Amino acid sequence: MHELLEVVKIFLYYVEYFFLIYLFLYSIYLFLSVTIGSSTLFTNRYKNKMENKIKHNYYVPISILVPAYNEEKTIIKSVESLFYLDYKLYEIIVINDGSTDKTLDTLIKKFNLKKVNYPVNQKLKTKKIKNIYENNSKIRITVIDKENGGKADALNCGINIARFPYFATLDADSLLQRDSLEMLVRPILEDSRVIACGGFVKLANSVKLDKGEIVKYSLRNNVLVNMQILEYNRAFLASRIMLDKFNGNLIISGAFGVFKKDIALSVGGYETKTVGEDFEFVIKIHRFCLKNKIDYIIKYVPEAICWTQAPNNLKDLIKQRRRWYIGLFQTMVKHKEIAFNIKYKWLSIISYNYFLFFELLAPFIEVFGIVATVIAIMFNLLNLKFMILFFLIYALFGVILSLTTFLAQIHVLNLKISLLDVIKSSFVCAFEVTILRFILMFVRITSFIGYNKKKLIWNKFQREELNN
Amino acid sequence: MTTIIYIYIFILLSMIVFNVFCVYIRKINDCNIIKKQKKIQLLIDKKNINRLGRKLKHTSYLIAFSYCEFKNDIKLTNLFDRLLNTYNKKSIIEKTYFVYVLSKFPEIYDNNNQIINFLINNSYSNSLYLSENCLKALYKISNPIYIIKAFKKMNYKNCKHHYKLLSDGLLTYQGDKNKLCSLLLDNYKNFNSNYRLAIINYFNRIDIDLTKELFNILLNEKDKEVKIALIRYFRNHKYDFAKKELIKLTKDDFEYAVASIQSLKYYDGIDVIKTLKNSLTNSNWYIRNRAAEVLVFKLPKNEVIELLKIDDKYAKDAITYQLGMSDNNA
Repeated sequence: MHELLEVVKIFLYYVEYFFLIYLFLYSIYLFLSVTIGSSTLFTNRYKNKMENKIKHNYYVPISILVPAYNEEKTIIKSVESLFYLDYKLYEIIVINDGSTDKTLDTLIKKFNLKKVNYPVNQKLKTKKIKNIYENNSKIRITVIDKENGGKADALNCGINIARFPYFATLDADSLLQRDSLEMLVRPILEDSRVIACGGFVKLANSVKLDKGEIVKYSLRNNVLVNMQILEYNRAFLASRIMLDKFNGNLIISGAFGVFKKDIALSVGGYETKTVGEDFEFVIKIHRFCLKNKIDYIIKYVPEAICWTQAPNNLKDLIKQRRRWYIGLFQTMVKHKEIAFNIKYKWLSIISYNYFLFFELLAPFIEVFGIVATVIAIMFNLLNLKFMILFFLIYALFGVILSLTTFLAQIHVLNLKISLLDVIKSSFVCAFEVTILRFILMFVRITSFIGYNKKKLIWNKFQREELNN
Repeated sequence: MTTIIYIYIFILLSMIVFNVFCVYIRKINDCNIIKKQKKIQLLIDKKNINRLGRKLKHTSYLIAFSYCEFKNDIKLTNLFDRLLNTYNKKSIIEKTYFVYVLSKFPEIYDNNNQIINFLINNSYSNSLYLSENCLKALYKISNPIYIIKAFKKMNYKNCKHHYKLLSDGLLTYQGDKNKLCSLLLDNYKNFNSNYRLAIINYFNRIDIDLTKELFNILLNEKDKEVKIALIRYFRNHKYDFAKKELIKLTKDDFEYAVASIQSLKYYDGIDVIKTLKNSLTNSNWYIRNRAAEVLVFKLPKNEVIELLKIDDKYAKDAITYQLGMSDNNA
């Protein structure tokens, strides 16, 4: 028994050091990303005020790709929101990926579309196109009706049809502000090395838009939605800004991004055998450019805002998170060569390792921590007072991080944040750190149950009608 | 570990306070700008240049100044001469703003060498925004020689200014465009491909006939992008001597071919139709479809329908689509 106790002590000794290093690195990452993020946003706003910007009448022409699967509730408002863009030259391409609802009929009727015999240049292989519809309006709308093949397949089909040298991707349940596309495209004129730009995705559940302008913004009375609002802020107003400093962003959200078409074609378009197609696509672009010694920049633009819907119940949230986790796993495994590879410099050292240790392996490490705690309790080796204190400090740290990014929104959005929302967000943070975090940890660990069945289906959850 | 976390928490709390402070300061600033604008307006109305000069050394007053109204009889030349030194020593962001304000008064620096040199010397700045604001200011000067000087310096310093910004900027020039074109052509060979592309795109969008000069350039241009821009120039500016070369280019690299086919849209002759018909059966999707588009535009409908008898499925598809589009447009 004494020997066993000694073994446990040694085990816990190493576990303790492991967690110290792990949490230390994680807190450094979070801390740096939040401070760099906030200060960058502040500087950007100052620059903008001081006319340090490229304000142009005509930017590059853009094909906006909107993949849609059973989006009859949201598709019209989403497409209509594109009519109010402060952008001169663009076309809209909706790809109906074999919807089983009235998505196609709704589009044809609303936009007076006519069937055309467009000869498609199949640069990227996709599922069969059934029909193509177009209209004659000033902003051309093309609707592709194709067999179901998943979001990646739909996007590839859109790339084949796109007429312009740059394409933007937009989810069918998303809305853009008037200046969103302009903001997203600006970096392309600012630096010819820019081959892709990602925008700031915010949750439409909290906003009311009128013709591309924010009318009202406030947190909802739904703790899950509010939690996601804070989570999105942390990712988009902190982490991505920091990664952007060394061209290390591995994700451009599929909800809103712009890409140079010839690069997209060179890498073979979106991977259809993964559910994290947006993540995989960007990593593929990084690798392609580095391999071919192309001087490139993948830019993140926090001022380019896209409003998208989030799940508003736990069942849908779990479904979404499982999918995300599987996508993360598939992509990380596929591009494992980046890990600890000096050739990829910061992309490997910071970006890939962050996703590996603090996203992919995190739930397992957390479970390991819980197991170690249980063992410590069993052998009466746990300093309960210290553990509670440490947990509280860490929770406080998490709450303050989230609050900092929540308030940092003021630099990119022209909106007022009410005191009530600040109070609400504090409670939501506390809830997230103490309860939700463990639920999501469990969800991620169990993601692989039923993995094969889930791997290629659309990320669907119950949609609400959009508030515009 | 806990100490570090405490330090982080302290810094993050400071950032929260900072953000809240920012909101407050922004509100105060908005009010202050209005107050400062009133003060500056008063000085302008009183033509008190000395006092104005002292005030405008502060960026916040310069911001207020940009919102003021001006009467024609106030002489701001000396004022900006004095501010030049002050803002030259300030941060790039402030300098950029100063140039932005300066560019609102082209009449005061049109013949002012000191200011013009300042603009030219900053046009190749590392800051794209400063460079762009300087160019915007130079486009407003009547004498185009300064634009050329700036372009030459930027080219020499390998300044990577997007060609679209340059060509769109040139379009805003309202002075002697013939002289500007002549100067651009004289210096054309000295520019790298980025600037050459910008210049050709600019020529393409103005109504000055440079077909003869640009045809000679087309024959010798080696850069692909620039050559394509030149081919496109002859779409908007018909030049019969270019037809033969355009037809020749339809058999060249596919990107040249596509651009040439589009340019041939406005050229007549059996040779053009023959070339387009040949291109219709090309294995390249872009060549085939552009040829179909141009043929549908040029030929009467019955002749286009005749073309559908062609023994090539892809060519037929291309014509059918273009016919449908033309019917829809009609």
